[in-house]
This record gives sequence, C-alpha cells and structure tokens, in this order.
Amino acid sequence: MSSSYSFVDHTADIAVDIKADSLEELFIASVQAFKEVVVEPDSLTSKEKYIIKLDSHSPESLLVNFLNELNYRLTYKNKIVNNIINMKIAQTDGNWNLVCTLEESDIDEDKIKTEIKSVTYHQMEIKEDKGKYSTRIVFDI
Amino acid sequence: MNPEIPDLRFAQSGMTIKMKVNKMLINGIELKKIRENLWEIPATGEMRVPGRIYISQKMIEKNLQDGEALKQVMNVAYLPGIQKYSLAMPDIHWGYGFPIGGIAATDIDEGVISPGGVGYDINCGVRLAITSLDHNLVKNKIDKLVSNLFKNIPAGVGSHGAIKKLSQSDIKNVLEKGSAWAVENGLGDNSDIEFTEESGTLKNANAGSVSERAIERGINQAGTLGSGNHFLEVDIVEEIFDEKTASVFGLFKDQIVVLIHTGSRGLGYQICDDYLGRIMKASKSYNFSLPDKQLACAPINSHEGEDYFAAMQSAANFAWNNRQVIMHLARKSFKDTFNITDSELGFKLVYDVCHNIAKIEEHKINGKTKKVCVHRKGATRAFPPGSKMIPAKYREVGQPVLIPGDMGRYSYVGVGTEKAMEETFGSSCHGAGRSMSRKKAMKEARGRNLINELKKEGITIQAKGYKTIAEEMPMAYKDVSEVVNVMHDEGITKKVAKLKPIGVIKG
Repeated sequence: MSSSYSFVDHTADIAVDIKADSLEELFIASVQAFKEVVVEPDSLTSKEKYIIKLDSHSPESLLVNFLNELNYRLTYKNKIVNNIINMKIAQTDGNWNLVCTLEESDIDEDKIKTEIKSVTYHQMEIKEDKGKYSTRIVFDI
Repeated sequence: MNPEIPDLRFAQSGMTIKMKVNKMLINGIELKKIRENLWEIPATGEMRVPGRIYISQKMIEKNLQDGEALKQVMNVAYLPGIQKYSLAMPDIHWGYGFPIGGIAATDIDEGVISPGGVGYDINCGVRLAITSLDHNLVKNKIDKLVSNLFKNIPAGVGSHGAIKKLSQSDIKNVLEKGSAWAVENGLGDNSDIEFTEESGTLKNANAGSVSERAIERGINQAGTLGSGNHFLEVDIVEEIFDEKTASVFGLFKDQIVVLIHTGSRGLGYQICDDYLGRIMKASKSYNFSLPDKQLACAPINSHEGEDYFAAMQSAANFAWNNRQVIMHLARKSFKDTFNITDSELGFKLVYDVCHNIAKIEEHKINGKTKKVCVHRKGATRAFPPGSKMIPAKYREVGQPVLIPGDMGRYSYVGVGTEKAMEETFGSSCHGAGRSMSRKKAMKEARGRNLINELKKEGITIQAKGYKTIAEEMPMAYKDVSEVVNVMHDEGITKKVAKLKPIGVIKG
C-alpha cells in the first residue's frame, strides 16, 4: 500500500493533490497533508485515543467532514493527531460511513503555524481508476 | 478600432502582449473588450448570463493567465436566478466557488442563495477610524503604540480572551444585535453604530439557527483579529484626491487613522461549514446543474435557504461586534500610549464595510426596480450620493469605500457612485488581491529581514509569528493603486484619499 501528496500553487489558499492505493489510505494521506499545513514536524508522543464516527452522503463530503473535525480538535481542543488506527470506510444504503481511532497529543497554541478556516469542496472529486484513488483538496486559510 | 475589421489577435497563455487587443483567449476562455477596463466572457454552455470583469489588459496579462479565476466567473453564471452578469472586480483572484472579487445578484423569488458566494469568513470587513492626532505627534511613540495595540488586541491562530468570556445570553445578544451589544456594554459610542453598514445589525438574524459548535468556537473570540490577512494598521493620510468628500469623512492630510480588517472568526467558519453540508445534502432534490460543489445553493425561500440566511446574518452581526470591540481596545491603546483624554484623541468611526456577505437589496434590472440577493465575495458595497442606506452625514457625497492595500505600501478611501448602482449592483473592489501564493512569498522572504525592511520604510510591525509577516509581505500583493485606478477610471468608485501605514499588528 502506498500514498503521496503534493502541494499545488494556489494564489489565495492552499491546494494539495493526494494519491493512494485505497480510500482509507487517501484519507490518511490527506491528514498528513493537513498536518504539514498546520503544524511544524514534531516528535510528540501520542497520549490519548479518540474514536471518530462520521457518516455523509458522499465520499467527498465525508473527507471534508473528517478533516474539519480534526481542524476543530486542533484549534479549539488543542489536540493534534499523531496516528490513525483501524480506519474503515464503507458505503451502506447510499450513505458513506467512517470509523477510526485517533492517537492524539496536546499541542501548545504557539506551535500551530497556520489557521485553516475550513476544508473546501472546491475542485474536490475523489476518483478511482484501476484501484488507485486521487483527489484535490483546497484549504481556506 | 474599426468594428468592420475583426480583431482576432488572440493572446495565448504566457504570451507577452505589447499591443492593445479587443479579444483574448486564456486557457480556452474568450474575453471580449467592452470598454478600456471592462471585459466580457460570453455566456456559453449552461451559463445563464455572461461574465463581466472590471480590469485592465495589463492586469489580465499579469494576474489571470492560469484561467482559474476566469473559470470561476463562468461557474457563478450557472447559479439559478442570477441577474444581468456574473461580475468580478479588478482584485479578482482564484478563490473557491466564487472568485475572490466576485459579485452575483439573484432573483429573490426564483433565485438561490449560496454559502460559497459569501465564504467561510462571513462579514470579513474593514473599519476606518479617525483621530485628531497628526503624524508629528505620533511618530516618536509609534513603537510604544504598536506594542500596546498588540498587547491589548489578541491576534493569531485561535486568538481569544480580548474581553470576558461571553455568557450564553451575551452571545445570543451579539448574534442578534451585532455591534449594538458592544455599545450597550460600554465598548463604543452610539455614533459607532450610525457609521457602520446596516448600523451594525442585520435584523433577520436568528441565534436559534446557529449550531452549538459555532457558538463554542465564537464565544471567547469577540475582539480578536485572528491570523492570515487580518490586521490592524495605524496609517497617515498621505494624499487627498477629493477635498470636499474627505472633509465630509473627517479626513485631513497627515492625520493619524486606524484601519481594522477582520471578520466573524471561528463562528462564521463553522456556520458556513454547517450550512454547506446541509444544502449540499438537500441539493439533490433541487437538481441544479453546477460545475463546482462549492457553489452548492438553495432557493432563497426554501427552509435551507432561509435558515442559512438567518445564520449568516447572525455571523455578520458577530463580525461587526468583533470589529467594534477591537476599535474600543484600539482607542484604549492610544489613550494609554499618549496619556490623553477621549476628546483630545477624537477617535471616531468613519465607516465599517463588509466584504463577504449576501444581502437583499433593491436594484434596477432592465429598467425596473427589483429586490435581489446580492452576494459579495471579496467585494465592497459602494452606494451613491442620495442613498437612504447610508448615514445622513454622507448622503451628499456617497458611501465611504475602504480599500486596504498591503502592509508596506498604501490603502485607499473611495466613495460610491451612481454608476456602481447602474453596473455593479452598488459594489466595488475590496483590496489589492494576492498576486503570489503564500508558498512563493515564503520563498521570496528567505534570507531577508522583513521587519527591518519595513522599519526602514517607516513602518513598525508586530506579529505573533514571522511566518505571517513573510506570507503577507508587500510584494505578495498586487499594487492596490492599479486596482483602485480601474474602479476610479470606470467611475465605479472615486478616489478620496490615500493612506500610508506606519504601524501594523498581525496574527
């Protein structure tokens, strides 16, 4: 399994292209890109576990909600995710569901380098081609 | 140019053009020149109206060659009920959904409202306050003044705690009363209300339409700047272009004034997010054909549309209250620094304008006055002389239009015109607009000491982090003069005064 992301030059905001071998990997790589935007690389050790359960009407909306949840936890709970375990994404009855466990640490406000207002839907389209997944994410900052 | 002779000297992406042209083709998008600074994108495909951009040929060549912002002007033209044109001002740049600098008016009976046409930072806006002080009195104490401003006004990511944490009843009042809450609580004067767009309160706000999470995000952020391009500047009035109007606005040469730029902070971001999700989910039932998910919209008179409109108005009120509290904290900082009284300081609000908003306004469409929902995304209301929507004091000259530039050069005060009412739904530009991505700006800033560079230009800056200063460096923005001159030359906004920064605080 592999995944990658690369930042795209965007005049006002931050855009990133994500690629992965599975939907779950795509979501996890999106979190890595999100972290690169918001905090400096650090060797924080995870202290707490937090289970996230989300459901949404589309995979794009699920990804936006997931990243916005992490952004909320960062800016208002001062929690940064270090690791994601047991991520499962499934589609049932037309709804997309996500469940995973976040391993998080407390982070000092001063260590947050960029405030993301929100994760946008602009140019976001999760595509699957021969088992490879990709999307673009634009963060409003 | 002889209209009989077709001018097909199309400008291709990346080409340097020295001659004036009547048409351009940028990444497959055709632009037709209507006037010197007005270009039209003809309606094609499912566009319901053409696009129109107020911009010079030089600015198109310099800033719009990737075609992204132009594509967004076209995308906005898909919105159901859109009237006349999908418009963009000369500070247009690539945003999400709408371009930054985009304006669209939709029919209130058959049209839609789109959270993407307002943005996450609902009622991000600018307020200008004057003082009785002149530059000579302030210049030797500017470092101390900036330090006091920075101490009293929280700035930066997640900044909070400017005033006591609001109670649940306080926040409800802020959401429904706007800056009147601050004035009722001793954080401003009644005249501050008079000189705020909509008197600082949109009347159909409803705190009940705001989620608990949005309230949680906003409850401790009243009176905070935040980060990114938000700022508080101490400026000098460097040049007056229109003596009469400047005098009505209370402006004189070498005067010290204060410019404040911020919005509805986390509360507004959350409201936009909440309603985008809800409207997107409901949008299947409307069956609108839209080229960008971020343009998700609902009929204005639907449950989703009405609830979003009420919540958006609540966020707008929160933002006006935010800038009101910051203004009060700035007043205190001046008084502490110079040890003077209120009457000696003469700190008064000239005007407060929002530049991310949707509002129901009356405009002439095909010769008839009609109520429309005007979305301004990075655009400023610019109402003309005689408008009943502006304070009585300004009715002879028109509404002040506040146009910040960058922290190293200058900003402008303009005034609204009748032509803006005729052509742009009473709207103008909102700022310089970025010309460089943040990443590119960081690269440009590498190895430089921007704080010292600004100091040499007579500007003291204090920010929470150096990264913000680098990302917001003057060269990352277009020259706001070019933007303002397009509006002035086209008669949409007339120039009144130019301001030069001497002190800046940022997140």
